[in-house]
Amino acid sequence: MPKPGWQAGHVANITASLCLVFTVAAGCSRWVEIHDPVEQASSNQISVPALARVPLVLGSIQINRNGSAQNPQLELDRRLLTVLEETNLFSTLYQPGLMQPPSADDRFVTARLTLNETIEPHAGGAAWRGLVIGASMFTLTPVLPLEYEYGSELVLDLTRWDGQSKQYRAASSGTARYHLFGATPLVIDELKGQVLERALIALTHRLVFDAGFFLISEQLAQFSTSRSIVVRARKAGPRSSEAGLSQETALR
Amino acid sequence: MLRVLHLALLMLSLSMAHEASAQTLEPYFPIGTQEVGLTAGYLLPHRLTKDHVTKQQGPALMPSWGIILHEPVGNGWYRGQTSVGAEFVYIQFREPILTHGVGFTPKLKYTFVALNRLRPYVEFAGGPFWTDLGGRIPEESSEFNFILTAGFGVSWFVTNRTALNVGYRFHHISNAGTKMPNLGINSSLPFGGFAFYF
Repeated sequence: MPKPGWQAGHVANITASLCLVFTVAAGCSRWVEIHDPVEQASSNQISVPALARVPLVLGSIQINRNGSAQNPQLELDRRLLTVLEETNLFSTLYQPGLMQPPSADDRFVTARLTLNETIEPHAGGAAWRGLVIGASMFTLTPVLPLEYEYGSELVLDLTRWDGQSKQYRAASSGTARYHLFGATPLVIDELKGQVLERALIALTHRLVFDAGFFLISEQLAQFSTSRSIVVRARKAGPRSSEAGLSQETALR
Repeated sequence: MLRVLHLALLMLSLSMAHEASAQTLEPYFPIGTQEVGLTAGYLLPHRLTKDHVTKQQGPALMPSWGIILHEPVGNGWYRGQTSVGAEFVYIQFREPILTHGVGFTPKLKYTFVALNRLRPYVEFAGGPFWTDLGGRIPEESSEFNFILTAGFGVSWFVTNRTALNVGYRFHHISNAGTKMPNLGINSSLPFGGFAFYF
């Protein structure tokens, strides 16, 4: 028959093991919060005559991070072209260097995109919390989350074939919160990807809302006799319903 | 210990050969980048008062792990990144008596990144340390102690993921007054080593 002391030691070992497992598991957690004050329209689609659409030529893409100019990113070109293509708003999308652009006599729209990124890494807070976590022999890891904030503003300048131009803006921001053992470049990439996605979707919603500006007016007059096509913006993901994720996107 | 060092040098050579064809302009480590390293050095005594008589010395081996906490901050020479981690310390005291010491020390490190591949750093560490030298010398009476370390070094990135390190540390070992006498033993530790980032 086991002695009472043996049982107490056994319980203490199990408790210590459970505490260790909890500390490590909780110390690995991470989550992303997307937060902006204004909610976008839930759906936005219209039918337009297919022949009224014109090509879009993607011009320069400029990236600024905390006010400083950055190297261009091919990934951003591809993402912008993808969401624009999904709208069906333009008949063809031209990317300079990859395709022969339309001649100057043709009707087309020229796009220039500026991405203004704002990053707040909370470096001082992270260093201080790292010191406290280290001094506690890592036992405070589960109760001291670290933060990384990211915001993106997209400014799209579109110029029509006749020289008229319009500017569209969309912005989104979010915060990645993670515990020390959950810190990974992936969580930052995930935050940036989600924020940029929300801003791009908001931008296309605005474009679709203003679709008439990019269509040939003569073809619009023959809408009843020509083939039509549905122009729509991609729907944003659910708000605050999946795995503690809350998402909103500003549109202005 | 020589066998361990030979194995480590072999791994370093293989890693450098593997990465030689994939070089970019400079090492860049985002948040969450982890570092594992191995450092070795030789402990030399400091007798700071007339009551310190022991000339403890011997080799030290310190495998370590760390994780980068933030993107580089600052715009001048002080531009850098903080990392937090832990280190296992083994010291073989060859003088005055052949004894051993082992410890576990969380550590904080700030790396200056302004000089591209040449990256100075400062580091602080502290934690529990057991040594059977305690109780056999007049300065320390207990085997259970604490070790505090402060030092600086410089990393030379031979590839974007591999660095060679050299530097200096000051070590203080004492028992925090849990048993007298507790004069503490102080040492200098010049060291060299390498680290991998992933």
